[in-house]
Amino acid sequence: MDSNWTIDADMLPDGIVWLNSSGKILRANKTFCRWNHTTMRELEGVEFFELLHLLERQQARWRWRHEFLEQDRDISFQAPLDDAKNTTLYEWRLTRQGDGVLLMVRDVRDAFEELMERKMALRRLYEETPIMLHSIDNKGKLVSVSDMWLERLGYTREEVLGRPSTDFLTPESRIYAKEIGLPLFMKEGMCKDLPYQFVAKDGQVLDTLLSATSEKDPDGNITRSFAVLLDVTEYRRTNQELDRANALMSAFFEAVPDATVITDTNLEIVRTNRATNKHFGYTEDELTGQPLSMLDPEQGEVAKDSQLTRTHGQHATRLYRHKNGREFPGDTVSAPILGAEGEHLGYLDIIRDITAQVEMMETIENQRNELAEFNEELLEKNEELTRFAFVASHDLQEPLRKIRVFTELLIDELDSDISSEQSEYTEYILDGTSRMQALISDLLHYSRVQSDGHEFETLSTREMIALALEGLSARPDELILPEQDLFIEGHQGLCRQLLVNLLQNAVKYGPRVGPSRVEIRLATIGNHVRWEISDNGIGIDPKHHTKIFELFQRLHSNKDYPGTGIGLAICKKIVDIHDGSIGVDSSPGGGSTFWFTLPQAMQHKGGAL
Amino acid sequence: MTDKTRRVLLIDDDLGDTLLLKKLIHAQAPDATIEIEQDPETALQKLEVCAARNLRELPDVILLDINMPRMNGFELKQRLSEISTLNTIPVIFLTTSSAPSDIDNAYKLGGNAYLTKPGDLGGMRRVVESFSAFWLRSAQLPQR
Repeated sequence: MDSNWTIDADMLPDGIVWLNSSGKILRANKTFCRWNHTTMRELEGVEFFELLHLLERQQARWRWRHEFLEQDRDISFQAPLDDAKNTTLYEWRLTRQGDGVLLMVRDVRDAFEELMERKMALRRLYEETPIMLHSIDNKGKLVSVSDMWLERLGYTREEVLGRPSTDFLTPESRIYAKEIGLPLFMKEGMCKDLPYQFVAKDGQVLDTLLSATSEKDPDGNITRSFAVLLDVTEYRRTNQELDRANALMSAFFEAVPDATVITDTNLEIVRTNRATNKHFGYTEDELTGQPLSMLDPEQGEVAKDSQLTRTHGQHATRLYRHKNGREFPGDTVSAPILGAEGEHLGYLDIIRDITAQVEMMETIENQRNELAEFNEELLEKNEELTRFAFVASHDLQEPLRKIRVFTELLIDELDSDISSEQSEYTEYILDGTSRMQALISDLLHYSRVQSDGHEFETLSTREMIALALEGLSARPDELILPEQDLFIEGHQGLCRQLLVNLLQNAVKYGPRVGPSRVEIRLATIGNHVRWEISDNGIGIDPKHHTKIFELFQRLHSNKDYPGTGIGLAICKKIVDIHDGSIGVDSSPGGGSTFWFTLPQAMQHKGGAL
Repeated sequence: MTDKTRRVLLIDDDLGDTLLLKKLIHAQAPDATIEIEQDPETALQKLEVCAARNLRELPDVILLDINMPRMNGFELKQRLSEISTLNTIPVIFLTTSSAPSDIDNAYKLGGNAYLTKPGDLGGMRRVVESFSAFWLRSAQLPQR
């Protein structure tokens, strides 16, 4: 039986030792002997704690005496052997077994290492999890932090462990933590999503949301915390940017001076701006959720065909309805609103109240019509005036002719019976009537100056000059003609008369003494041909330069220079008919240069020089 | 020379002119008969009566003014042209108007000459002189 037991005990992987009641070894199995590098014989009678490592021996002896022997309690402890060759840690367990004591010794190295490894794995997990984690003890000092925590805040582990966690907060967050965060945590044993701002080593501020749970001792006192910090800096920044963008968009939307309406795909109003309220009289609340047809009665028709008609950037003038029932015209730009994926979200309508423009257009239209009427009236009046001048002068001629003819007949028939005084009277009558006749005749002539409906034609300046010279009653002593031959667009008869009148004047108002000299010059200016007729005559005071082109304006007595003062008025009328201009450069005694412009002929433009 | 004295009908609403013209024509052609009608409508009626009853009473030549009340010279000439026995009588327009449109119209309607009344006595004399020389002495006229 003994040998059987021995065999059995020797086969166990643990050390089995029997002790007497004073702790001396009676017997030990082979496993225990092997661990001690000794034999059973050498071990017999040895007190068991003599085998323990020197450092553990004192305590083991104390526990053996006080706990095992005096208090009669089983004891167990961990300790290595007093053997330089064996550093293994063993678990020693002492149990009473009848009169003796059974000592079971177990190699706990494997279990310990496993535990250590598990601890290490946990530590690795804690430290390497890519999230900010930290733990504080019940004094608020950091006992562990994750790598991510260190990376984000830019510290090394040595720099932070043992320091209060609040050292790494912004001043505001520190106050928050001390007054709210930590008291709450200590009371509840946990907290969730508390906003903390951490300060990195480089001064950068990190926005975080802190959630934590706690580890407690058996009495329920918090021994340490496990905190998770969610870095929301990016999220915050993105949110802030979004808020800013939204605020900007909103400000823009509200600032648009035109009524701006956002509808969904069913054309129900989603949002309106302030201008909508101004133009339509509804508040945004009154409009939100209402059909667009509330503002746009025609919209019902369009909505049926919305996809076709409401294309991007579509422009339309429509009739809108104000809350008070008044309809007004609006110029609208519509555009579909598309989502990021191109999905159709709704529409944007920007409605500009164009009542004022329409009214202005109407006013302009009315003014234009009035102007056209006025113009027509003016034309009629002008025509009437021409007719009047013609008829009046014609009818005026008649009685004058009668006065003259019968005065002459009277003189004729009285013959020698008339006294020299009476003869002088009749001379006055005849002189007056003949002058009156000349005036009327010129007036008639002036009133007849018009293009007569004849088309303008292309005229050669050389031919025109030749024609005009034929019509001259008197020629200057010296006449200088232009070398070039230009082409103008004009009425032949009128242009000839224009030249004749000016040339006649040049001769008529020639120098008082010495030979008269007249020069005609030509030049192309823009689309016109400019004529200059210069003389070496008596000249004209500049103060009369405008007046002389008016009807019946004369600068000289009939005795010095007979005439009616119609010639230059006719010239001006002819130039006006040709859309040209006329003027004079002159000074008394310095000769005169009359100039005028006539339109250049189209086909000869630019090529005649 | 002609076989009978020529008859001139002067249709002009201006009494002064008719008197003057009668005087001047008479001075040029003392044997010519000169009749004066101041109202164109009456003149037309008388001519129509003559054409129906007594052709020999018809004038050989008509001196016709243009601007007259109720019926102007052109209208009268138009009416004469429509009547077969009257449309062969030469019509000489004698007027104060020198408007090109009047001159054109006169010839368009078949007028035989267009003369303008000059503004002075000398001019009037010369016009009557040439009229008389041609129409009262030289021109061959229809026989009745």
